[in-house]
Amino acid sequence: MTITFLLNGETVQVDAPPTRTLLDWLREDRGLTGTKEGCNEGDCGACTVIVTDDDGPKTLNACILFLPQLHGKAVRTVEGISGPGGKLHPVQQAMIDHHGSQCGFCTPGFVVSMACAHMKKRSDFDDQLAGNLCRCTGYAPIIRAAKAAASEPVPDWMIDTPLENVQNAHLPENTDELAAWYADHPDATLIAGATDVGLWVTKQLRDLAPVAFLHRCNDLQRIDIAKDHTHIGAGCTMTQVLEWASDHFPSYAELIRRYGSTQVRNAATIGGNIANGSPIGDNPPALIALDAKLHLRHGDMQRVINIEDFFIDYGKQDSAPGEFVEAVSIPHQPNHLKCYKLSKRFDQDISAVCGCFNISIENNHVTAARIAFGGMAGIPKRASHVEQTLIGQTWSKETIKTAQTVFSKDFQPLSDMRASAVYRLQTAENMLMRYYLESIGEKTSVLEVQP
Amino acid sequence: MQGHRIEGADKVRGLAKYTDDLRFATPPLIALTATSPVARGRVQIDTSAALALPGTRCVIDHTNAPRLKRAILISMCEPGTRMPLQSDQVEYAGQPVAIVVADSLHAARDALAALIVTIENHDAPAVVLSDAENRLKSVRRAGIGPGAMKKGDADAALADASVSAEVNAHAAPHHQNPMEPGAVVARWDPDGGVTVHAAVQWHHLDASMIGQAFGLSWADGMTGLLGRAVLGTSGKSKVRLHNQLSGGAFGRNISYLALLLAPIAAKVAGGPVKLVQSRRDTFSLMSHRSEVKQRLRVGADTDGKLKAIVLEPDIARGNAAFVEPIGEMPMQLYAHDTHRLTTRVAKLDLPGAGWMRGPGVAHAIFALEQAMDDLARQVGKDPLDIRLANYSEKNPANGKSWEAKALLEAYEVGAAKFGWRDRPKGGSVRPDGRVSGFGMASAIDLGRQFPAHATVTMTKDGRVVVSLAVSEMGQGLLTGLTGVVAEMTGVSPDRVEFKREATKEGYAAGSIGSTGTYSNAAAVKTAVEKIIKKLAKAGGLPKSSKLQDGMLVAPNGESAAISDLLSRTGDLTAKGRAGLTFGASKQAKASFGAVFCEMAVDPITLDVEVIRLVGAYDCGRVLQPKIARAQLIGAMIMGMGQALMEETRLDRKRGHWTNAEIGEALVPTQADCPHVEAHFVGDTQGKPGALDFKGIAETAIVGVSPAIASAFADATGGVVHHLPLNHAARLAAVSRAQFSFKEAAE
Repeated sequence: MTITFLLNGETVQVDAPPTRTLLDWLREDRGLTGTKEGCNEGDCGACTVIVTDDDGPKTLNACILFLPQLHGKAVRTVEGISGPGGKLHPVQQAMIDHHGSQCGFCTPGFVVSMACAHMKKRSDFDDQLAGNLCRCTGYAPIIRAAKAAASEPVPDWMIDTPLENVQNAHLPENTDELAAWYADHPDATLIAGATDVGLWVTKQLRDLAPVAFLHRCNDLQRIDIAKDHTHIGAGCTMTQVLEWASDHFPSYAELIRRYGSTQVRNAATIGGNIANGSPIGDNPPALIALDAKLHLRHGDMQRVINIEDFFIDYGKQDSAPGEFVEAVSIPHQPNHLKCYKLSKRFDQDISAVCGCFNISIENNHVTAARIAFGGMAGIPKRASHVEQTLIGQTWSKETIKTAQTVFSKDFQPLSDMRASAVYRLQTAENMLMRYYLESIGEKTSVLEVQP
Repeated sequence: MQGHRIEGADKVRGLAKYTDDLRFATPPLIALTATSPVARGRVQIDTSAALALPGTRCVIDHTNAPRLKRAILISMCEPGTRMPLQSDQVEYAGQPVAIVVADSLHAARDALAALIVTIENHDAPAVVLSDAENRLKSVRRAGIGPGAMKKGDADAALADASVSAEVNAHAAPHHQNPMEPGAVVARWDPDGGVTVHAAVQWHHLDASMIGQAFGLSWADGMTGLLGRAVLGTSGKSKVRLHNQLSGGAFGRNISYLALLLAPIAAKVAGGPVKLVQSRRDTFSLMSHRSEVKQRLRVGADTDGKLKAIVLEPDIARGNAAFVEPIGEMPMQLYAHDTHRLTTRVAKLDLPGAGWMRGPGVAHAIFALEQAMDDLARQVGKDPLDIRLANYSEKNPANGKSWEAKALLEAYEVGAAKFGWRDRPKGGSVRPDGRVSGFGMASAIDLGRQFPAHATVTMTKDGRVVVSLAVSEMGQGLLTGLTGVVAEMTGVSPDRVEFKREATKEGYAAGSIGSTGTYSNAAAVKTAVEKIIKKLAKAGGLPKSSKLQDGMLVAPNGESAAISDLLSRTGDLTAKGRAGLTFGASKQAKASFGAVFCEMAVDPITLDVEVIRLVGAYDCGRVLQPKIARAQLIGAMIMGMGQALMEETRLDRKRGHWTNAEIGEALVPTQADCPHVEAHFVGDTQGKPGALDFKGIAETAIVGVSPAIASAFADATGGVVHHLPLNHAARLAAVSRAQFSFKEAAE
């Protein structure tokens, strides 16, 4: 497969196996060793590069980015952050001045993330740099450097534009093409953002052939607001979903802010997060609570199901060979959604428990309740007994206390490395109390806590 | 210019080269390591499918690996106990059992995936202390430290004490996880020697390890190593180790297996080989900080003054001689009358444990400080006051006076900057509904000095060239030493050059235990002093003359231009050595500190957030404040990681690490980082003409985990027994305190 893209301003054509990662190609074939491998699984950010497409520049982890995903785009590595003659970018100078580089191994990744944030005039440095790990500095000098460089102008060499009119590289260009091809190749692996599938290659050394890349299917990447629902294409990145959710369901947006890192959200798609069926994916509990529908497609056939029905059992989803997730739709509704994510580390960590609550109250009575959890069962699962216990009851602490007692009917969580069963169950119950307290506007500051 | 890292500009451009980035005229073949999936058994490897692949050059296992000799290793790391690929015996999961060598990284990955590794007759391993009661043995020595100590009758004093406290602390194993996974390049030379490119913390030690293993020459043996330490030259060494920049190390880059695996692969493959470690590989091919249980009991009078310290640690040891040196430090922090240390060690079916920042002391002080807090509660004293009450002017373990000790100032400055005396009551509710807790702890780490031999040349064209095989792992040693040279010679830092990579450069003290900069600077200083004397002689000026601004200046103001003197003498070279007595002194030497922590605990989820960490440290003279402070803050955040999240978990049936990846073996991210301050106290200028450096980073990790645990206990009443303070440990702590977090939420 021949791929064409811009690398630090220069057009390159690459003929490589479809699952060759950008990181390996840069280092092994191109001799550009500034981009580092720290983990090869998208968790450390040492391999961060800037990729510019029609939506503008964004950071991605090169270690789980396959070359075909770059077709027609522009890539900028740390070697391209300095200007002609080695002229330092303002973030590079600031990193020197503020001692943001110690051992230096994470530094190229930080520099690239900082340069992208600088270009996009982002000042939420904690979020922009959450996907870059550093073991030496304790981060403070890096954040100081980012702040110090913020007011400097963007060097002109940083501006990339994607390539126009690139040759067809045998990648599906729209959903119809994809559907037809996948129906004919039901054993194939679909690759959208590769934040999960990438690890099958880099960690499990699996041979994925045949594969289809979804990123050129622009019609899969749209968010459309219809009369009674929002239609989110399966190929929308979590960055897109975050932007949409910020306006409609801020608590869901806050959950997504802690989902992976900037680099991961820029690559990961909502369809991928649903389709991989993980019991601890963060989207499904929120989407179940929002009564979302899942749009599945096989060839020309489309069907719509309740999203919770997609998850049948651990590792088993309601999808036929050759069928794929095309979209998810969310009915318009007043925002009663609260999402509570509990993880061992605040940022960039898989949930131990993710509880999403959507409870409607009228005249101080519960009229509807949709509650779903991740991390509490082998699949993302509704708390049906809890919902039934709440519906029709007065919205009071007594009702909450009663409902707390039936969580164990809905869930028998496991103990694993993320949390113990006891802790999971108890925090799940407590989350309902938090929802109640927040809903009545009562700060948790009224709590009496024994010393 | 002051304080700029000299390799900083390369690092921010991505131009700094780490071992895996090096390019060679003859590109090396690529090697990857196959490791055992289980802990015990006999290995059989079917290599046929891997060898049938077109890119595969060879597969090496115990049947065709060269026979290696035993190495005597003072680092006590794994190769000193067992050499890799020497038998079919599997002794831990993750043990290297084969190496594939191929034309490219991708071909090597394909070969690795095609290898069929079978382990026969594997019986159940013991990989955690709770499964190894029958393996515990009392020891007199625990690694570099004592395993047994006794001062007076501590048990009687404990029994008689008015107040006593007992801490049962358990710490999970965890890994250093610097950001660089690391690679080693090896090539056998025509004369039978070997050239190795790698990042190591102690150049000549690991060159000697390679030489011993392959039986190369007496100069590479233990005698040779001792000779190097005393004489400073590598003699007829046949190991040409080129020490590359290290992408962090924290104790991990010492005597690691890949330093032997790569030469093995190069020998069998018959050409240069680069052995690449994946992140997962590093969890078992390199060391970790081991699991430790401590039973610590202290007895005190009604004022909280310590009468007895009884420490009984149980320490896990893997397949290395190394034992986490727990025992020594708790006896050196506070005044006390009696103590007893009884250490037990269990050899577990694990990779060799090893050094990690603050070895021994980080855990030991955690337990001691928990006990001090308990005493404070019992006698009704503030945690700071009980530490002041037990302050010791002298080293309480041996009665030596301290060379310098500004711990009182550290308490005072730290408490003032933090606002300790005016803090809200622990357990009070914050505006956001979370519960506040405040904690503090002391920090200590002993200062040591190791031998170093620097050769310094002052050239006619105004450069200073230092030959010294030091390691740069990000700690800023090169910048620090450059500063020392620049200060003493008056030469601009950009005219100071280091030759440090090759084995033929001067024997340097390892970058270990926060001793590298001090030990090596002492040798550099001696050499520069000799050069000054030579210049003085050439210029007819007194020996006490000093170099400044291109001039040699006598105390009476008389002066001569250095360039004139050098044009007469030619380039001047001098050798300087220091540390041959390992810094032996009538006085004790240590860095000290005090750490203060503010924490918020969510009563609904028991989630914790460290809000502030304030540390005040007596690290002696501070040469480069920016670099020194960066080291302190980085180590404080690592201490926070140790306190809250860092643990590598084990599968008790198969014996492997279950979270051997950076996405699951969590380390702090920016979002976890609190407001953090590090202040210097004590004599930060140093005495005129003296180096007066003390250790920095190792001290700064100490005290953080107890301060954080103390803040959690202050907030919830739950005394912490387990590190890290994960969800389960928090739940256990509050359960013991009868703090029902469920009810707290109502």
